[in-house]
Amino acid sequence: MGPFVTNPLHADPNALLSVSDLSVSVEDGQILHDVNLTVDRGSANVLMGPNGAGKSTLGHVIMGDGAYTVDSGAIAFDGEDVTALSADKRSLAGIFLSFQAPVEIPGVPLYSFLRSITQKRPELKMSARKFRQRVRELCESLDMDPSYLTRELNVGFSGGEKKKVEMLQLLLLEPKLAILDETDSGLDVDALGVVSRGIQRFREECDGALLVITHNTRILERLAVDRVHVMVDGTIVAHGGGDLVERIDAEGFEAYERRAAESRGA
Amino acid sequence: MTRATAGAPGAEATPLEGTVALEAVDAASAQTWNWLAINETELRVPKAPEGAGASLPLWAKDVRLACGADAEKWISRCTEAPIVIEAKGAEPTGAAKPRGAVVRPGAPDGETVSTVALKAEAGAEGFAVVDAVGASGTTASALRLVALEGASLEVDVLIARQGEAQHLQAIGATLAEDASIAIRIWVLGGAKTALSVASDLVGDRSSFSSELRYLAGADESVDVTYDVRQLGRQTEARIGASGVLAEGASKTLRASIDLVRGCKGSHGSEAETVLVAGEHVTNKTLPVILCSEDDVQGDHGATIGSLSPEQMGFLRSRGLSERDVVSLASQAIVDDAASRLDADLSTDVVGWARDVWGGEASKSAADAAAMVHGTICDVPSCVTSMASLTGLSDEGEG
Amino acid sequence: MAADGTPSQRKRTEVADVNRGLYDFVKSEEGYERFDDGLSAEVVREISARKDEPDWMLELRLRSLEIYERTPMPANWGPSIAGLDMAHISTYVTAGSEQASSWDDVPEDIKDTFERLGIPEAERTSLAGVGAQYDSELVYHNMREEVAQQGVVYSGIEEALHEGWEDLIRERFMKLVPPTDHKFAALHGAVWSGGSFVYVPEGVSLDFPLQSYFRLNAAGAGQFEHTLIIVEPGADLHFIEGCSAPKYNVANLHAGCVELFVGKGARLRYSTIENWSKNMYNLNTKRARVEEGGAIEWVSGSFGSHVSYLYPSSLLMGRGASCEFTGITFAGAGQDLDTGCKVHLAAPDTRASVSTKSISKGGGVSTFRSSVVVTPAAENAKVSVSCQSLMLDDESRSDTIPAMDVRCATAQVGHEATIGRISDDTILYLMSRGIGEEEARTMVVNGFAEPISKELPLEYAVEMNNLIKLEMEGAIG
Repeated sequence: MGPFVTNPLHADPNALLSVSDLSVSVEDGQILHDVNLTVDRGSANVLMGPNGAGKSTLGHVIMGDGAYTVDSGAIAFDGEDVTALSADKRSLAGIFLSFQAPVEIPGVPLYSFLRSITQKRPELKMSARKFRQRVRELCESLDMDPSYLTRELNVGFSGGEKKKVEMLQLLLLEPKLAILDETDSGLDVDALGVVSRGIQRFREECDGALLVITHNTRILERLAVDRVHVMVDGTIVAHGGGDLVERIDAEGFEAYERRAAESRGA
Repeated sequence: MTRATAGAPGAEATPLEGTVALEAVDAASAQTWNWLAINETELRVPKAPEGAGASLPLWAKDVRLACGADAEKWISRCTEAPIVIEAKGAEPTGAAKPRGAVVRPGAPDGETVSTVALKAEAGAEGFAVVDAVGASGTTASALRLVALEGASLEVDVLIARQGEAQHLQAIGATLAEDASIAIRIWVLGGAKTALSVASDLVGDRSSFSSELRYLAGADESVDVTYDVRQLGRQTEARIGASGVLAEGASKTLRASIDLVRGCKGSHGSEAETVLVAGEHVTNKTLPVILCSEDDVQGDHGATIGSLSPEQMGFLRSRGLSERDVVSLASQAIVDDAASRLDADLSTDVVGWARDVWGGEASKSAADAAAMVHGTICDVPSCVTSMASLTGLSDEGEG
Repeated sequence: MAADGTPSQRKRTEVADVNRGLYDFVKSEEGYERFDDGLSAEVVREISARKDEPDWMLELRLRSLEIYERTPMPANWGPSIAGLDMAHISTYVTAGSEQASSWDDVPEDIKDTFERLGIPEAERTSLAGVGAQYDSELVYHNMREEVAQQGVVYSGIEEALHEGWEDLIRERFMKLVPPTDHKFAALHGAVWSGGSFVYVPEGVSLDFPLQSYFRLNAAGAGQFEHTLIIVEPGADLHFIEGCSAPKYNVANLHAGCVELFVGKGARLRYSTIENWSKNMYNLNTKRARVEEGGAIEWVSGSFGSHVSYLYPSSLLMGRGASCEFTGITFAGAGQDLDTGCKVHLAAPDTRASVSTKSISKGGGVSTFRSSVVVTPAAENAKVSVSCQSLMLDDESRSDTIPAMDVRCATAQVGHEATIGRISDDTILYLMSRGIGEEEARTMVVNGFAEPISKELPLEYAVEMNNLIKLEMEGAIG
């Protein structure tokens, strides 16, 4: 890290997550440029932007995806600088990323997987019986057939089923921050309803902060949004309140894209 | 062509005492139990003239063949003069650019044994065509292909020999960055066909594909070796083979893909489908994947056998007998060759079908050809011209 | 990586429950009888005399020795065995104790060995009978009373020869695997010692498995046990074979032979978890002959040895006979494991299903080698072969060399093979749920191996998972 890096720990004490001056690259070049983003404890945030703006990349970088190199800047979470932590450490610290395309793990039954990730967390310590109850109850609320629990993790699951399994993990782990990466993509109306309910339940029960990454606004209809961040070409170009959602819904991203292009030209 | 005086092999001058056995022909690069008799084949050929053999340009000498040292030497000695072609890129020279080579082993005006070295310069396109026909003797051809940066080569091979005739085909290829080579091969007939394809994907993002369709009946034998090495990053190799084996035919396919350490991001795949339709068929397959790199994907799939009861049930419900299905599948390969090869070769396919299977089969092939080549002439007249070429004009287009 | 997440620290905490010393301990050879290293007619005669064998057996041994001497190793395939010098291998080592049928009568240090490997405990809880071989001789053999009452025979071959089974043994012994089969089958024929004879009478089903455990304790020695199992028509047996050895700096050799006869409508499941130490040359031959409607099921886990040549083969000779092969091979540093299977379908309606997994890591070489032969007699035969290979790094090797020879028009043969690695996405996904990288890899590899471990008896499945965990230790970094 260079000498001009902002110390993220000096940021706002209300902030759960603060991303400061973050630049990120892969082998082919830089993807994120000087990104600044703050997520307050318990707040509902939306990260919007056109396809290819770098939204998913930011989500993955916050989670600690090793495929990306952080060139400069820092990520602080819950009062700790996590920039150098691996993904599992960040997960235990309370970050959750719902994958756009959840991965299939042949041979590992969903149930064993859930138990294994729960046991990692002392704060979730519970008896085996309590755990079974909890999982069953979550399945029910997500409209998930309990027979899924004995199936191999995500193997042969439909897109909707995979997203439900993500919601199940979200509600089970009760993270401080949930990043939902295009959780709405490719879902039918029923599955979308289940996911929305899952998100609401997370908000109500876990008091967790939320960062929803999306390029359409449908999933946000039933969510009281506190902050909206707009990303274009790897940079956050605007922050605003929940009303920004409606405006983008009506006007699209063109104005932001134009402004970004102009500022590049300048 | 001065076949007799040069002492090169030909059907007319091959008494048994004048023959020699080529050993370790088409040997697999990774071998297995010898009792399976699958590792290599042998080929009896007329003796080659003594001599230094065909001299090749330096760039062609490095191209690896997989036909075995015996066969390689034999082809070289039997070659009168190698055909060397360098296909140039798209510079505005104005001069005619030789883009490819056509050899016709076994044709009245063709060399019996030929050696071709074809190089496509950076960004250039080139082609090679082998059209092996005729009903007698041993023919052979060695094809050495070099595709430089961004160049692409297309190769069509038709082996439509008949009766006791045999053909030895060796192809070697080297690919530089972003180069691509696509090889299509149809083996329709001949007592023995020994075919080998070696390919080295040296350059990053180079791609190699080969599609083989074969047909063997009576006591015909088709022996094929693929030896593909993926060395560059993000290379792509695909080997596809499908065929019909009838009566007492035998086939051996050794296909190996070697994902060499360092070829990160590469993908190699092999797929085979065989319809076994004869009582005395021998069908051997050795589909090898060698892998010393982790960031790769290698896969192989094979389906060998008759049609499933479900498939057969469906076809029966549409009025086809088992026999019908086999002739349908066989005819499909011939039709495929006729329709996808260029006009000259297409004509040879139709001619082969006429000689070997008779009028109906060649008509079907001609029909198939017309469907495609009909884009350059309207369908009925093209078929008529095809039919007249094959001496079937009296049967006409009904 | 942050200071609190260094692999070395994680490694210590995560594998604490696996005892590396489980297999890797050595007992003194003091007081043992050990034949001179190397091979000669005298050595062979001496082994035979020791066992007070019938003449035909001595003749078979001497003939095998001749075949051994004139048979070359294949030059065109297979791992190198250049490090194996037969002049420095002792073919016969014994503690000299009598065979016991109670663990109390087994010499203390040998008993301790098997206690550590958990054999007596397994016998108490889940087995119908146990045989334990230590170096060249069986040291323990016992079977539950009720099993013996059903007419089941489970003993050493040497005892069986002297207890009225000579004719049957003579008829079958080294008939499936003749000494001419390959060089080390010939060696086996010359110096075989120990192993098991199992006879399951017609219609008898064993509810619990029989188990043999082979322990090679002596350095620079060979183990050449022979297993002969006859499952008569309609009978059913599960036989488990386990093997291990401590690690030495000199080469050890295992050239056992397994001959299985599965009668009409009978079923035999043969499970092996092989965990030889990494100085072992494992040149083992296993073969089953299956009659009409019979079934052989192989479950085979290969984790140990420096070099392995192992291809259990199934000869499906009767109508409707079937073979199921489930195998896993894990090749780590310094290992060259050439494993797979052979299936010969020679009768109508025969079935074969082969499913294998292989894992390569740390420069290890894993080769899957198979042959499927479908003869013209095998009308309507069905074969499916599936092999999956996992590469855990770019120093290792994973080769797949399956051969098929199909000569029957009505047979259907399907084959698929894939080679790949654990994707970065998979690891990230698991890590994002709080699982450490090494553990994530172990989880994926265990999942990969799951179809095999679920075929194993529970305690073996646990052992296999532990072996994988051990092998995966330090898989990153």
